[in-house]
Amino acid sequence: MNSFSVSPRNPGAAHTRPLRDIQFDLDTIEGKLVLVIDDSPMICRIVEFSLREYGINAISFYSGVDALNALHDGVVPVPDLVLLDIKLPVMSGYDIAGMLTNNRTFRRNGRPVPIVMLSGKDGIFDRFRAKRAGAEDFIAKPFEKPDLIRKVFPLLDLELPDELSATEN
Amino acid sequence: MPQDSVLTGRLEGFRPAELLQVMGLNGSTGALHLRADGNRAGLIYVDSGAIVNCAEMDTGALTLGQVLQQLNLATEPQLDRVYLMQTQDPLGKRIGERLVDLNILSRDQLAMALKTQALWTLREMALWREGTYEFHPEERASGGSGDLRLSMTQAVMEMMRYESEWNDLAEQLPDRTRTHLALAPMPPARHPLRFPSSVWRIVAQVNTQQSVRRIATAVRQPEELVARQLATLVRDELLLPVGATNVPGLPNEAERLSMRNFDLFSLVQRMEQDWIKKKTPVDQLVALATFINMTMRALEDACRNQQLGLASDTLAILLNREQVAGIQGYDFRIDRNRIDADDIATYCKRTFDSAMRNHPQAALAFYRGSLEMLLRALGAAFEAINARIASPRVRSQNKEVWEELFATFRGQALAEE
Repeated sequence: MNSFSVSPRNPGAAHTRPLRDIQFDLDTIEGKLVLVIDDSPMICRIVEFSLREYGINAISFYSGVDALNALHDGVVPVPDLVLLDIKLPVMSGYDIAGMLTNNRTFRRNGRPVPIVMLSGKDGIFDRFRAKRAGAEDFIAKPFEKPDLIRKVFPLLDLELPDELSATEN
Repeated sequence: MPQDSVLTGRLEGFRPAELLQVMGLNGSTGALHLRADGNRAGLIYVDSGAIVNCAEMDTGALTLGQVLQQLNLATEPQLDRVYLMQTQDPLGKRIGERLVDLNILSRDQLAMALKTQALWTLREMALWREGTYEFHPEERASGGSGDLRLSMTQAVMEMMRYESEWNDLAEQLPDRTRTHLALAPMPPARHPLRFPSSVWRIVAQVNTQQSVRRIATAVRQPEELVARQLATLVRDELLLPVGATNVPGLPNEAERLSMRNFDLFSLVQRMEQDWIKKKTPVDQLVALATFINMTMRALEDACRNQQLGLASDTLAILLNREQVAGIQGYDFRIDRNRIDADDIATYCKRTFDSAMRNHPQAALAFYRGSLEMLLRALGAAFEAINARIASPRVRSQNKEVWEELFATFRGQALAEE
């Protein structure tokens, strides 16, 4: 099993699931790692399951602050990619993206870790703000699994699976 | 599911029958995932130490139709008729239920056939000596799995007996009941070629049906019995085993009815996005009714893509099966797989407003009760779709995802505190 989630959704969102147990041995992570930050546990599960199907590890946080703390404390390693919801409790996705991109320790092979923003809105304003906050790309919710994989794979330096590259424009 | 308690290992260390024996003794509950080297996969659900469901996941798996024919309880034309009904209404009644409706089977015969199918599937898995196993505690079969309950002792004894039986037959039929056979091009000169009529009936099916299982189904005899006779014919060099492959997936008939391509993940995301915009209790209840309609619409599209029809009373049957007729004294108005959301809106607004004026606690109780009923209805639609997905992994992921969604709808947590 190569994914887990470590913090509850914001109580302000009337959604306080207990912490999912961390049962994931970080020393055993092989291959690419994606950090998912979204206050919807359902979206976290969907992303985890979708990525896992293609052999990519995923770790989910329901709050950006918890994710920052976990990275800072070394609870989780620096990932290869971050999928970051814009509308988060306490600190917005834009704020979290800014903090991640400006943090010198948050580098992978000397390069900033790419960030892809997730949003329920698909307006030009959100896309522009995401770009300014340092995001590489933007995925509007609802998304389909193939669209997610098509965005994520190139940013992980992975070749698209045949069944998805065939229909790529 | 606590991931650290997943028990894994190789079948070379513990045979399936031994694993089940331990689970029976421990009174375990969960799912035993088996993967045999050579592309075969199986899943056995146990509940308090008894077997409640099991399945093999490939095109050669034993079907209920084959069992019914081998037990001489139904004929091929009768089953074809029922399969045709299924293609018109894939989420309606199950094949067994339809056979009972048509008076082809009694309820007792159906229960016996389902039990036989489970037992024969289990004993096939007993022969897997190489591969892996994973036991996932607390993983349960999705809804609609029926009320099968097999005693572990009975199952394990049958598995061990079958293992012993195949010790003698494996040389002639290396792929067991899936062994493909062909008539020898030249029968041995010393053979008198004199057989009883029952053997001739079997031989006559070899070139058309090929596999032991299909031959047994065609002659309407239990496959173990037919396997013994076929093994003798192979030993006498009258038949030859030939290569054949089974691919992962569903048996052919079931493949036509599968919802493999149903995109539940996109659907539930749309629901969550819609839900966020609903601010009042009445709007939320009406939204749930529209989510049921969205699911039915998506289902119609998925059926159309597979050239399947969806009966216009599918939703009514699903809700009836789930015993969800309405909410708190109000019966849903359902027409052609759609709930009348406007009618629900009117009813909910009237009831909720009236309760708020007099007893706010009653309004809250009305909201919670109605929410639960609508979630049961939506869950029934999801379960029906999920039951048509072959992969247990995908089924379990789908369920986990929609339970997260339902937790959001419930504003949840409250109960957990």
